Amino acid sequence: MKTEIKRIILFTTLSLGLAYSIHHMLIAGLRISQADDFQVWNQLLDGQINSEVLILGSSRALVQFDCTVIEGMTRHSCFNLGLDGSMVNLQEPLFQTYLRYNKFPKTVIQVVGLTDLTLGKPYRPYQYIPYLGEKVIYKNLVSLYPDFVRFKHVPLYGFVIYKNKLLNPAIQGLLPTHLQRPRLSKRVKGFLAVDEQWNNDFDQFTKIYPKGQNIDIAPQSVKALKSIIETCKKHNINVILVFPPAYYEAFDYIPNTRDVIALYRDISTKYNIQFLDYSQNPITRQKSYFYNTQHLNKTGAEYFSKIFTAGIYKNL
Amino acid sequence: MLFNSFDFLIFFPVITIFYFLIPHSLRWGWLLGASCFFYMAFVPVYILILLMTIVIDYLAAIFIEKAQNPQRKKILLISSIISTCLVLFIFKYFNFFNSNLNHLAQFLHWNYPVQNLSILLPIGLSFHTFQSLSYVIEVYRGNQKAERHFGIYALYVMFYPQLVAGPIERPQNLLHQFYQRHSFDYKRITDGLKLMLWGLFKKIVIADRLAIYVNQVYNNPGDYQGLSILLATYFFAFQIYCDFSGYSDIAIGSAKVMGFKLMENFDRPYFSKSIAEFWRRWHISLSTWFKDYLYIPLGGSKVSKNHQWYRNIIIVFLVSGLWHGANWTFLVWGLLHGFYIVSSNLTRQGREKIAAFLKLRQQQNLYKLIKIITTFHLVAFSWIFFRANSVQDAFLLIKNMLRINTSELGINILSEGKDYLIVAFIAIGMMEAIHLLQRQNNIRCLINQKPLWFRWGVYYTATLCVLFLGEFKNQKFIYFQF
Repeated sequence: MKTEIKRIILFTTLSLGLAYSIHHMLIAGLRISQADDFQVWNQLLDGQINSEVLILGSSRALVQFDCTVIEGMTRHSCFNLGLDGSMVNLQEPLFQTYLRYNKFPKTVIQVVGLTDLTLGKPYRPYQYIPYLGEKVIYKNLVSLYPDFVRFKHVPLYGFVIYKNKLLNPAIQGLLPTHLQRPRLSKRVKGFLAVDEQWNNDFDQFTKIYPKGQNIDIAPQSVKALKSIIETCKKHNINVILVFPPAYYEAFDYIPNTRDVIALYRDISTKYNIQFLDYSQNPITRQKSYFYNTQHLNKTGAEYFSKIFTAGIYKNL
Repeated sequence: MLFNSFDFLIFFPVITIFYFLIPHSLRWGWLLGASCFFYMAFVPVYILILLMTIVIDYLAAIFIEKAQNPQRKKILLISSIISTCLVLFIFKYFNFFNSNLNHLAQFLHWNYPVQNLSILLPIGLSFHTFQSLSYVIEVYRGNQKAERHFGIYALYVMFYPQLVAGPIERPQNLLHQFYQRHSFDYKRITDGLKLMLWGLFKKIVIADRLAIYVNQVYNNPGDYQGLSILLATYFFAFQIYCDFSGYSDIAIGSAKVMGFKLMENFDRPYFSKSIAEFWRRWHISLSTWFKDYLYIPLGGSKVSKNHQWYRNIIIVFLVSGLWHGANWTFLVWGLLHGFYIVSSNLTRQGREKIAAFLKLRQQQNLYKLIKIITTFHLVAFSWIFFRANSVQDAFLLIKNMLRINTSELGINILSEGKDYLIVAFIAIGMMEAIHLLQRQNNIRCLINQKPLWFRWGVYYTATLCVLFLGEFKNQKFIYFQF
């Protein structure tokens, strides 16, 4: 019986050791990976960004602010840290982490939209798995989605749940360079160009919500936005709040659109920062520039980036 | 709580470790509490329904045993059966019958005021209902003494490894085991764990992987034709087998770890050489239940006239179809199997003549193979009705399947690509190879004979396969809906 119990303990210990080893090996692979979901995160944590102009926000930042255009017009280095599917309460810890590992930027462009002040389960949770060691990011993630506790502390849990998204980039990251599959990252200076035409997302939304839907503003998210601004003020970083274009018909289905924009305006007034509101810009009527109501396509983003840069050029 | 969930990964070792640590006298209570917790993880309030049926049948059995008058015994038995089945009827069948009556009333231009009920089906209702019924019937028949210990009887109904999807146990097999002292037996425990791992492999690596393809085709029957539907149908045959037998293996394995022996529920059914043999190998606990409590009381095969035997067969399979679900698809599926058995009997002489003419008996292996392939295809065809969302969908799938389109193999259906299906094919191939090996030797015994490094290597490899090839999108077990 003692031999058997020793065997069970040995097997269990070996299993846990193996699980933790494989887990940390895969994490190491993801930390080197150049796959789109991880490339920007890895650059950030390796202190490789260090740009003068930093763009923060959700997917509306990610796909609408072309840093190549901004750099070309302003001669200031630019990087787009747009985090797909995120709200401000995840953008804030991302910003804090950026400051920890990179030189402080001179200007922060905080992109805001109708949903940035809401709360919800993190989009594509797997993208955060290699970075749960960053306390400020982990704390915010857990408050939104408790499963992150398992992702951090249960070895291989995240890799089992999201194996389709994580295993390949992790293994590619671990391979010697000459054995890796060449990857052309779609993100250029963090910006992701979406070369698509108008899809049927809006039609589906109007079918589900024929009377539209109000936006629920979460106090935590407002606090996070103010925290970004206060951090910038503290470090003499110029911060500009931007409400980028959205296709005009969308506003008809969000009854409290004006309230949300007014809130952003109030915050900008309170902190004496510039607020650029493009919700009424003529571009919002050009369907050919959008692939859905909230996002400009590649052509639209290029055009808008020029308009935007011309508007802020003197403030940089 | 699903067997293939993280919660069960914590639940099972905790329950098992404490089971062995606490005194034997307290173990029934521990297991009963664990089983309540397990059941309440689904819809907590439904434990009250389970409790009600437990109390009814517990009392009914005692009264039946005490009753001297055979008439009184019979009345008590019938009352118990009616009350237990009434719960089943209300939750599972009321809406089906009500909807059909409504349609009939509309057809006849009658006013029909009865609305459908908005209630969820309690999980495992059909299983523990049948388990309770078998207990009361066996007490009535004098084959089982009525259990006086309420907690033990409740545990018999609620024993968590087999509570929600069987095997449907008999009281003669299970009840007395709760009184037995189960010691810590390393060999038995590791054997149980191996069985659980095998069950997880079948469920997570094969069944849930195939489900993605099957669901896509069967939920959109008008969008596919030819080989796509054929592939989905073959896949479903393996999906349902791996899903259900995988569950049974986990149930049997987890019970075995604690020292309980549950009945085998599957015996490599797709190697059957006839439909009758298929039903001796598929969901054995249910088919034996129907044999003992419906088929034989109807007269079984010991009836004077053939048509009475055919009637018995059709009734049993119709009821079996209905047991599986309140939908015309399940009735058609059951009827189809009844038809297979009846027509098999009617055509036996003709088939034997053909076999003799083709000299198949002299080529036993070829003859066996033909029978196995034929049986498999008959069963696979019937699965179309089992899986389809409606009878109309089933016929649409059959019609579209006959439109052969050789240019399309349906692989493009999956966004994950053909690698996904290749893994499924390899896993099915491995499973069937192991089934073939099992004919000669129990594979777990074969592994036990190997050195430690080999055994542990197999366990780690199997575990990593389950973790990294399995689908963890928490697909429920198919038989949970019954």
